[in-house]
Amino acid sequence: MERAIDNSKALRALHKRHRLGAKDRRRSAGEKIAFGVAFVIFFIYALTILYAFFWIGMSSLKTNREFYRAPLALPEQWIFRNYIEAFTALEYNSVNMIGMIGNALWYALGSTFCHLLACCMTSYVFARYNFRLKKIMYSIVILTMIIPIIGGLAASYKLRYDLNLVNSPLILLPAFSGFGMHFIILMSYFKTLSWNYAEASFIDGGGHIKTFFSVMLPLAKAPIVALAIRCFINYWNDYYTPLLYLDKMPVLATGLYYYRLELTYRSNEPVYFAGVVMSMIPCLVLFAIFQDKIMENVTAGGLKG
Amino acid sequence: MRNRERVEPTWFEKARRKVKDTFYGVSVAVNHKLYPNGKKAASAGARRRKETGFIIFMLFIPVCNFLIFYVYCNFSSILLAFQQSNPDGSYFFTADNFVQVFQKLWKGGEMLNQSIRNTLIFFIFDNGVILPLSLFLSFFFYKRIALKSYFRFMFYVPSIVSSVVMTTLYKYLLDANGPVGMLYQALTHAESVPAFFNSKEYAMWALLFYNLWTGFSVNLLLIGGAMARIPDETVEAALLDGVGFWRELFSITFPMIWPTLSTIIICAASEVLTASGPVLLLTGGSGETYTLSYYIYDQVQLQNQYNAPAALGLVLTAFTFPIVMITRWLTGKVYADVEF
Repeated sequence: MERAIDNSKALRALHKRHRLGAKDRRRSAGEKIAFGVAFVIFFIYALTILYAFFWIGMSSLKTNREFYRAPLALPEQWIFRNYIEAFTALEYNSVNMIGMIGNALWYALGSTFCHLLACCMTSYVFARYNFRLKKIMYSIVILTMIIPIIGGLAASYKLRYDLNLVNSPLILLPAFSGFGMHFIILMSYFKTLSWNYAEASFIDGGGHIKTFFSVMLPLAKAPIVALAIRCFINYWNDYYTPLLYLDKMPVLATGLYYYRLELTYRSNEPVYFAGVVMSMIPCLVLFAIFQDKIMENVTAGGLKG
Repeated sequence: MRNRERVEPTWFEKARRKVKDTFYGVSVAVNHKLYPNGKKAASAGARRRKETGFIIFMLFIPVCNFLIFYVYCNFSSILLAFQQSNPDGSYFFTADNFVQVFQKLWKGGEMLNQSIRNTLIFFIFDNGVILPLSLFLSFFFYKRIALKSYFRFMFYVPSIVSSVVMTTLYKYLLDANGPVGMLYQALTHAESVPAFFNSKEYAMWALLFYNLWTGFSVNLLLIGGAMARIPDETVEAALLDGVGFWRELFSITFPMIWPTLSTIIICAASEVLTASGPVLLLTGGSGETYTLSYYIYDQVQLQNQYNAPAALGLVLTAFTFPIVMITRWLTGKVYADVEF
């Protein structure tokens, strides 16, 4: 058995080496041109993105007057005070930036938690248990993913308003939806997970609930963490839902949006930029740390991952 | 080793043990009666009940959520589409909303027509320009272009950063005071920078260009992931046969990633009538940039109308559904399912 594993490892290594060799083979003149052109395009693109961030970072350290006088120059004096000022100056509906960060954390962390917990629960049951309505329910889930519902906005606004979810911390409730893309991804993972673990737990006297929460969920930690990071970033950046339903509880994204709408010539733009820069930090830090987790294992169609 | 002294148990401990032993004895006796063969005789039924209880426990809240926020919500959306309200707040059932939608569709120069036109422009641009470009870009990543991981990072950044931030950046860069605006002035010697986001001439272009600037990340990841999964043996065999760069791209890579690509295309087809750029964040509809999704948002959120948008939504859904189905059928026809 071990030898077989060793062999397959060696084979894979051999394949890898071969493959690298194949890819590194000398490129023909035509290919070289294609790669050259692509490189230039990639380089210019990366430069525009980098420059945009550099520009806003630089502008956030200027005085307002300097920002208008010399928008492209480096700051004469580096005014880090703008960043402190942003906490009090950026205000919408009498919620300042600290409040907005609090709201954003509540909305993003809460929604991520609710959504993934619900998805784990449904996907685990669908992957591992048989029950009467399973096939029908699964078909309905897939159908809802295919049929695009357009114009449900009016009804969903009315429903949330009637349920008193608008401008309420309970806006997390709709996030407790256990179906959709994440359901499918987690289901395929739970299907691959060996059922022996659960059986061992049953023999040890664990019930279904205990087995799920203390054995199977920890085993699925890797995909759950990867999805959680992506989910958190999406919710943190989401402006549409908070714009519709959380007007009096602005999150960072909507707060910055409203502040930009109300910017007048008298307001201090570098302070606004400081707020913008700070709003990016959580996601960029998460992205920097978990880059591989976020960018790898993304699949669609066939859903292998 | 520690010398253990036997400690005399206290009266409390003795009593506790006695009670425990009694319970144990009772439990053994009861179980022995219930399961005389030493096996849990009733286990099948009990297990089944436990399992059912567990399934209900796990599905109860998500299913309720689905029933309320999907089923009821869409059901009431259909009701809304057939309702109109009286000035006193009561409502009555009518098909007028649909009549109005179709009347607006036939009339030229309506906001709705503008929205449909722009939505289709976005749809064609996203799928006719950005998607093929993503395919080519992914292929270069797959073929390990120099500085690959650095570029991949850059292409992905726009989807990590909030659209509010990206649009802010974009807006200021194109502003008279921003680098692009200044470059424009320097190149054209114009006295002022045109209102890129408000003028009829430029606003749509500005939005499309924004989509191009920020729209690669997700497709790039999906396609890149699919290409990375192509089996080495296939590529090796082809390369040994002397297959060139373009031939590899069109005859091996594309067909092999077809399952992923067809999924992307089907998803795109379902967005045929919801495609949009960040209209709300960049133009707010000015410069004739209304799209269908922004039009509905505008009606509901800004004009507090519920019935007409619901009717419109229903009509649009009815149009989209066959498009999705036909696309599914067509993508299934191009290549047979590739499994590897």
